[in-house]
Amino acid sequence: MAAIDPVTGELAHGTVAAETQQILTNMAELLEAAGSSLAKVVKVGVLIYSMLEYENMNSVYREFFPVDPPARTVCGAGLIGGHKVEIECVALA
Amino acid sequence: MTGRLLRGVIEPVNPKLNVSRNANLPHSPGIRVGDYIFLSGMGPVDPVTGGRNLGPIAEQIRPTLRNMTHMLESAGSGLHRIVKMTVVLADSRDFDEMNRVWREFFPTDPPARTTCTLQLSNGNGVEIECIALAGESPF
Repeated sequence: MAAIDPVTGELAHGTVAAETQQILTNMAELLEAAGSSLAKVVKVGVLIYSMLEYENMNSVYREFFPVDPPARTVCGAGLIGGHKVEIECVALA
Repeated sequence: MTGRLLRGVIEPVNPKLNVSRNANLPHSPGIRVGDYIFLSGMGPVDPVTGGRNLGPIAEQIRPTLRNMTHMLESAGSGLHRIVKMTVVLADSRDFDEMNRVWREFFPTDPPARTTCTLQLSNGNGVEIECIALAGESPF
């Protein structure tokens, strides 16, 4: 998932911290709509445009997974659409 | 409904290999869910010192796969039970050397695998994650 404004549906480009916040907020909502939740996430893959921003992503990320966080891999990659962050997950239903 | 499946954290028996705990990172070393194990991306951590081994790529891949073996065995599984692996290299020129080391660890019926080149953390030349079958399920 990339950062999308849930009201307008537009791309919500911002800082790495802001995009991470928006993505995980949307991910939580999507999982809950399917009867799941962030607490049931098993594995996360995070792509960020530069690993120099690793801590900016982590500082927001840790607020969403305060206990027993999922397994995770983080890599730097060229992302399409001008996004700075893209996050995918595997979760229990 | 899969509500019967339980989700539990997997940790290495050797605390030096518990990178997320030692560096206070917001991920678990591994998660078991049902009969599957999902390991976080692992790198060439020295199991004695806990430091990084950033030597030649073969000398990064071997400890990474040994650490992965340790993680899986800590959960009653093993390398032979890996289903799918994702290998991230910092430099695509290391691909052939990576394959050479791979054959040492997976001489027959190797797991499904995807390899790509991306930026890695901590100066790692390689990072590997996997999905494996667990041992006998306690759940």
